[in-house]
Amino acid sequence: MSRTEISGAPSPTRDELYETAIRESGRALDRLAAGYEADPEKRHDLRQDIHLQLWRSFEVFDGRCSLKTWTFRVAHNTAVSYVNRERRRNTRLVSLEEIERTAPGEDGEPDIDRRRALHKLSRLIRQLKPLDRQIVISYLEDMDMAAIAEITGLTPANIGMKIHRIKNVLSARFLEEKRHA
Amino acid sequence: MLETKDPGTIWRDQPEEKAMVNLEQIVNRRTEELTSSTRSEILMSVGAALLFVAVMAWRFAPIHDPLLEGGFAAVIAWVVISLYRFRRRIWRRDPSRPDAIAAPCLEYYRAQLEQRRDHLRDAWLWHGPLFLACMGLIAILMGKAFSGPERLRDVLPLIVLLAVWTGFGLIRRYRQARELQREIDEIDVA
Repeated sequence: MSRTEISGAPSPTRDELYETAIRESGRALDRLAAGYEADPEKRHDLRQDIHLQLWRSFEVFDGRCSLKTWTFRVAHNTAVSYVNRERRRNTRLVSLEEIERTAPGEDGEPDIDRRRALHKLSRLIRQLKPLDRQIVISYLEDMDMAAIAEITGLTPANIGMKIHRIKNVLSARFLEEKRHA
Repeated sequence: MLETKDPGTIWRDQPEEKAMVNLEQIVNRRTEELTSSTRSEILMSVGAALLFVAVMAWRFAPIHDPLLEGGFAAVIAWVVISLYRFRRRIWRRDPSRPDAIAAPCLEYYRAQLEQRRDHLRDAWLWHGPLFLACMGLIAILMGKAFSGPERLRDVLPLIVLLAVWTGFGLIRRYRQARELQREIDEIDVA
């Protein structure tokens, strides 16, 4: 049964779906790409790839999940394919658990400059294995546990555990000394 | 006093990307890339096979030997079958269907890992040339074309290079496949 038959209203075309998705999540997709690739030129390629796959995917969008979930699934999966292709050139990727076990080192220094903090955060994300990276990015995008579970396919319990770890890691690395007058 | 700076805000407030994405340009560029990589991959495969057969033929073919000719035919058949069998990987950059890319990430990622692992373990693709090279060498040694060690000595560097390269390649691929399998197991446990 088609979407038109279910809702009674004409279903949006692939281009319309794509435009809506980009209007709603375009900036978030750019940030997602930044979580996977540091080099600006390569990141632009990755962004293009994400947009292409997204546009392709709307051919079979069935409305069984929200447009946002669909968009992020496609974007993350495209980025994972990209990471796998680039794997040989990448340094070893680590899990959240390994990062949690590692002492923050100089990363624990106070962060006054916002740009430096973003750089540090992006570097931390890019060290992670793809699945952990997906969860961290989704968490930073302020998505709730259910949405992250729907995107990744992990159980909410697993997501909860991972988010707990993410909070530990982030708070250990983003402590700021507040100066009082 | 220690206070946590909100990483979520830092992440979401990052500067906008300057370069805009244009869908039409993407499709055009991808099409060009696809055409270009397709051509180079086909030419490389055909070229490598022809080089191998040419070197062997140059040294041994003047003498008609059914074993040797059979060996050449087997190499060419292997190339043709490989090209047909892996046509999707060769002709299309991304063989995944549009609906596969929208699967839950865990499922998709696992499938990607499996696909890569299976590719690394593919006996036809990786053991095939080694098997053919061994059979070719046996055919040469047993056949009429083998008049003495002189001709064999000429092609020995090529055979040794091929054997060393294949051996290192097999070890590297097995290691990579093992690492991927470990990651698949980690996903299964999660």
